[in-house]
Amino acid sequence: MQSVSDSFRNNLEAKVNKPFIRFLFGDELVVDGGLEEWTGNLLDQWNEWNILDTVRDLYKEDYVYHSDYYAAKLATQINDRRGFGGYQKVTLETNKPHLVSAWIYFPERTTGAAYARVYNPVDDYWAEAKIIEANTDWEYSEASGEPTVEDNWVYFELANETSGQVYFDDISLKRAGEDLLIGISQISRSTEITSGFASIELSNINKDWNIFLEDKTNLGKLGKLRLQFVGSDEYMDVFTGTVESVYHSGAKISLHIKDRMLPMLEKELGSGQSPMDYYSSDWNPADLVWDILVNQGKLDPTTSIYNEDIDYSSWSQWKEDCDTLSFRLKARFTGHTIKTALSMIAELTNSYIWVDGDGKFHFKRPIPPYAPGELIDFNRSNCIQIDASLDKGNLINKAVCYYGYDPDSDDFTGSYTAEDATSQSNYGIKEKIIENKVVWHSTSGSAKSYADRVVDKNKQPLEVLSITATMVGYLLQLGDDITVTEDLKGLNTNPARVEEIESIDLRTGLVKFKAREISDEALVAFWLDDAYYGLLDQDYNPLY
Amino acid sequence: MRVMKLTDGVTSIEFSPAKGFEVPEDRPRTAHKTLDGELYIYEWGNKRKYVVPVTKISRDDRDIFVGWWQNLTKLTFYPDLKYDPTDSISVRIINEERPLQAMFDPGWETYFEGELILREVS
Repeated sequence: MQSVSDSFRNNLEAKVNKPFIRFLFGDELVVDGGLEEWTGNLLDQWNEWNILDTVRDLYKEDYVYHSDYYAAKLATQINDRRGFGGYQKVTLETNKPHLVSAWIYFPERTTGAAYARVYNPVDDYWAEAKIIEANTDWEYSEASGEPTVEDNWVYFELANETSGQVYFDDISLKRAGEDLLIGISQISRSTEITSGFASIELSNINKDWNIFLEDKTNLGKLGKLRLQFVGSDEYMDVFTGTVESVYHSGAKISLHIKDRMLPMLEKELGSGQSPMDYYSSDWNPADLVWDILVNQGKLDPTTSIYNEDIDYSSWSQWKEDCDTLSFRLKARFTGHTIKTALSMIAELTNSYIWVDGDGKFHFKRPIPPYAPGELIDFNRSNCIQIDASLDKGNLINKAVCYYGYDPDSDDFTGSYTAEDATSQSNYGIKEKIIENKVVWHSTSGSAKSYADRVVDKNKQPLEVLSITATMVGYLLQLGDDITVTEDLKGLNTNPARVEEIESIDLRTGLVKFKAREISDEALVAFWLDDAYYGLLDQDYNPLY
Repeated sequence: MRVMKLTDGVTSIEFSPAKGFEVPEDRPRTAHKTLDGELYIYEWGNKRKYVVPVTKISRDDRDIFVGWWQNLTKLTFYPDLKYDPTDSISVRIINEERPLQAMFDPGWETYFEGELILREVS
């Protein structure tokens, strides 16, 4: 599930609200807006402004931060009300809308204001994101405006404060075209790995969007569709992509935006003549995917949450889950695309791999039992349609998974068979043979883990729920567990798993998705070390 | 009669909307009824748009409107000067074509009419 604040969730669940979509385009214009690069208490990319050691001071803050590792703390001890902080010069396009934003935590405010603002001598401070009251948590603030000259300076600053302190993080300055978005398409997130395309129409009445004709390298830059609510600065990125094509028509411009990962996913791995070998040793599927994405797809190799292309925390969790389940894969690609490779790996590990609205790869391997956290219940009050279907055709009660393929001898070491006798006596034998010579399980333990799960998941006909939900559905991610209540069909908080998000409609607010009833709890009788149910976990182990 | 005003801070023009002006719905909206009949209304967008039909605009005023349109001048718009004189928003004239054409009515040939499309800007 997307992680959002309670108030954002309330907005999504509200019956009357004012959402809007904003299109943000182009590169980040602030260098080190995350305030991460320090030498001692000095920021490498920012200049100090009015700092007076120990009296009005700037500190590296590694305990209170909004993202990554550091934030900047400004503290004053004197009552001279001067503004102080840090600044850097930026060169902006004149008369074009820009958006400045920052996350600000201002717990000890007395009289002052905390600003992230942009200045030039002609327009003065023309965009000011600010917090002017004490807050109890990080708060996002933003402001937009248009400079009339190119040379500008971005400040983060504490002003008029007599004795307090303030924390800044994630300062950003970008081109923004939110005022003139006039049309928008659907986006989808399915088992196809990427969200594909989105089309938007913008008014070009003020010639903002001639930038593509003027500078064609703009076609390589990122655009983001961002959902916000009137009166709140919090947002959710719903699509990130590069502009694929541009149509100017009258005073309108249509942009066709392609998922930023699509070009990379179309790259071929190896060829028949010289195959790409991943079979000299066993791979944790997560490491295999990492190697493909980073070394073949040339994505960001950073192994931390700094990674700009891969959601590192979901990847690490996925890697851990794959280890828990003893998954070991080998692969040999002969011209398969990265997309095909990822789909096969996802399939052979019962996992979900997708590019989310933030433009990063996300990973999920649902492992039962489920966290007892709050699941969203979809019911007659927040859905405009709940259809259920049942199909015996997809039953599998016998799975034979071959493992240990040797490409040289074209032989498998052996196979593991998973069966469910009850299901076979109820419905007859429904067999699936998994014999993949491109990506394969290398050990019998790995094959067993997979085949058991395939049978367990498919041994009985499971309801597939097609749901059209109100905006609360924006929170969903693939692999999320939900509950569904529909009296007419006898569904009473039945647990289900989101398997496909067919469309997120940014015009109507509706979300269509498919979820499947869950039946795989039985697979794992107990967990030794699980955060919620693990016998070794302190919550459940009385010996702790 | 309702009186409106547009000003760039230097020049101001007061005018009345012609027949057909309606106070616009603030934002585009979509509405859905859920299965149990609850009505969800989403009002989209954070910027308002006014379509103001005008008539009998003098040539001088027309030239000023066209100048504002051409230069995309940021203007202050007072939607109801008479009853709510302090209510104002920042707008631009965003007509797709040059706004206001000459009137045909006998005696009014030197005056102009048409629509002003105003879009709220931040």
